[in-house]
Amino acid sequence: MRVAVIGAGVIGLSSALCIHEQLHGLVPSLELEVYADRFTPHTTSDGAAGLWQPYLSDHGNLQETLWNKETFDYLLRHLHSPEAKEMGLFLISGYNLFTEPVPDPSWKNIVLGFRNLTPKELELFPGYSYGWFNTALMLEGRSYLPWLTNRLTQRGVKFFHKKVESFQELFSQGVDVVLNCSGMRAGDLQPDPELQPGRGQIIKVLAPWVKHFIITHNLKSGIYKSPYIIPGSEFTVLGGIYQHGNWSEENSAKDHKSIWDSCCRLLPALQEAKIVGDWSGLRPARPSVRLERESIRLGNLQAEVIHNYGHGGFGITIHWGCAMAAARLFGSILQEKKQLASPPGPRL
Amino acid sequence: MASPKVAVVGAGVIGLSTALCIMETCPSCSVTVLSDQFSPNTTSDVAAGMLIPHTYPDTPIHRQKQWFKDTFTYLFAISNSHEASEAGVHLVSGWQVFKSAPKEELPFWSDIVLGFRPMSEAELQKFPQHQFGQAFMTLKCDCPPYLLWLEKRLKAAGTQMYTRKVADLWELHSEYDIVVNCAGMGAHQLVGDKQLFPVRGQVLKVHAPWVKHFIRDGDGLTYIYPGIHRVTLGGTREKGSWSLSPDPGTTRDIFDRCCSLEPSLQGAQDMEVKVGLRPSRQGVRVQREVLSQGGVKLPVVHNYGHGAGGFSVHRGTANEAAHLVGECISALQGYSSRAKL
Repeated sequence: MRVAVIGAGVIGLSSALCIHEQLHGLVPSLELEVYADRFTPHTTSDGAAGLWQPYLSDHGNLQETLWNKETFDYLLRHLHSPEAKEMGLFLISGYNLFTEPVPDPSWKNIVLGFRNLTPKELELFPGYSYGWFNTALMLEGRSYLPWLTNRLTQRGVKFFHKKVESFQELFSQGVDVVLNCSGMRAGDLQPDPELQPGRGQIIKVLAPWVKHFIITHNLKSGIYKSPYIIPGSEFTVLGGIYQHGNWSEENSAKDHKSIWDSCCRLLPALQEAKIVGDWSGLRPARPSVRLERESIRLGNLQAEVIHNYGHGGFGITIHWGCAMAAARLFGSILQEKKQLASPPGPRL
Repeated sequence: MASPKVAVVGAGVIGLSTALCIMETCPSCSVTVLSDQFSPNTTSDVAAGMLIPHTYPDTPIHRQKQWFKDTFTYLFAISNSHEASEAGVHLVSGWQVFKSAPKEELPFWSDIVLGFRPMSEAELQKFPQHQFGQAFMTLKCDCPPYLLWLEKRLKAAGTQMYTRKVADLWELHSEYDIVVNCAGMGAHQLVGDKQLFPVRGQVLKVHAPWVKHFIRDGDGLTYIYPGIHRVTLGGTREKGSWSLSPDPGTTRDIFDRCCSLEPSLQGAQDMEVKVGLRPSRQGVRVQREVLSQGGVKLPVVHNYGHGAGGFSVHRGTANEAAHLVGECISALQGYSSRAKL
């Protein structure tokens, strides 16, 4: 049973690991392969700060809220394991700031210690009159992706550095199931007008005195268009750019200035921070995550694709819940194939 | 008295902040700081600099609370300014956890720190050996940066600083009008205060930049305080021990206790071991005194004995000491005008 995963970002690698962990025992012939044209540290997941936090509203999409919760709980269980440091996993607390009162988010009981900000705390942020404080998790892509890669390599999963041009290309080589975790470029494999880039740019700085994340919100502009500051284990990420439909992965001087000025206004001490560099990436934005099976007819064979893409700016936040859902879909494919056992023979 | 000459003995957080307060309240004063040690070799440099007060049995609580409030307000403003990183002052949130119910549900300082509240059940799950906890946000003064920042402000205001071991306050009476004694543990020898005793503290300073929260056991013995570049792991409270040498067995013990509170510390790197003697006393001595010897008078203001709580109350006691210096100056001006009659 050959399974090919397209994409080696957080979605591709975690889906691969989840499937292997859960199903390798049941399918000893399982051969898992990962195909990607970009590997860590060059994926979208590597540029993300790595903060676990869903968007403010789930728009009634309870399925995504559940996947977010499953991810948080899974990571929390690993917090005290010896692997945590290698995974890039640690607790972090911080602020969400608003210019007006807002309803509590869907994730208020998922994170730890969620509360409103006191007036004294709000004094720190002139211009903001309302906010939350909570403890969440950081999962840094630059550490997590190599950790996932190591776990997969240990399990005998093979990696191929190539750009897959079509699902057919893999099926014609004898692959039975494809896991489509191609993120931003899923449209190249199968047109999807709902998938659009949400371009982001960040500035990496050295500001080790900053111990809390600070995320501001401008409800009129929309998510990630207002300054945010996220301290990591090596550097602090400054951001606040979300450009829908912009495919450019080049750093923009205008965006740099906008991020720098707005973040320094938020935290004056940042003026003394040393700038390490800029990075731009494309959030694979979609009205909802595409996580579903698709059967493709190829002659007299039925090929299976499991789509798992379109996680926007919350890929790390939702990844494990989606990986488990993808594994369940794979499980049902296995069940069906046993019932419709086809004799071994030449493939098309 | 046109330009009173004030000597401040001691260049730890107490000496430097007191000198600064004097410069601020008495611009005509000429202030000189004298100390046998300057940063990075003071007791303050060993301390983590966390604003979590120690309770002094002999000082009225309202006075301690005022000292803490003054200090917190002062540092809060710095943490929010562009000088925060140079001064080494930053906010840090975290948890104080208890194995058995704490004596006080609400410590006297709970309404001064930020967001003080009991920990939720979910939060306590991170600490399986502890049953109760308090979550809050407070400030931390990293040393050496904070002391160096104080020194820089003092120099800019015209303060002189000299490395000099003062063995007797009377050495200073011919050069200075008023002496301010911020000698910390040195006051034991300098003014013969037998009520002052060392409480030895050993700490480890490690590189563990993923640790973003403080964790403190309510018994005060085990704590993890993340600073700008290093995390301070502690500690010990050995009453009466004068030893400044690090003890390897103690190092192992501190590390083990901290790892049981925060397992990820197993991956910490670059350990440095430090020892400091907390200059402890039943009450902080912030007091005026006029020493007299052979007809000569020497006004002295004492500001020492802060024990485990130096950083927590430093600005408040410095303000009080500066106020007492003002009283000394008025008294001297009173003498000199009487002398003219």
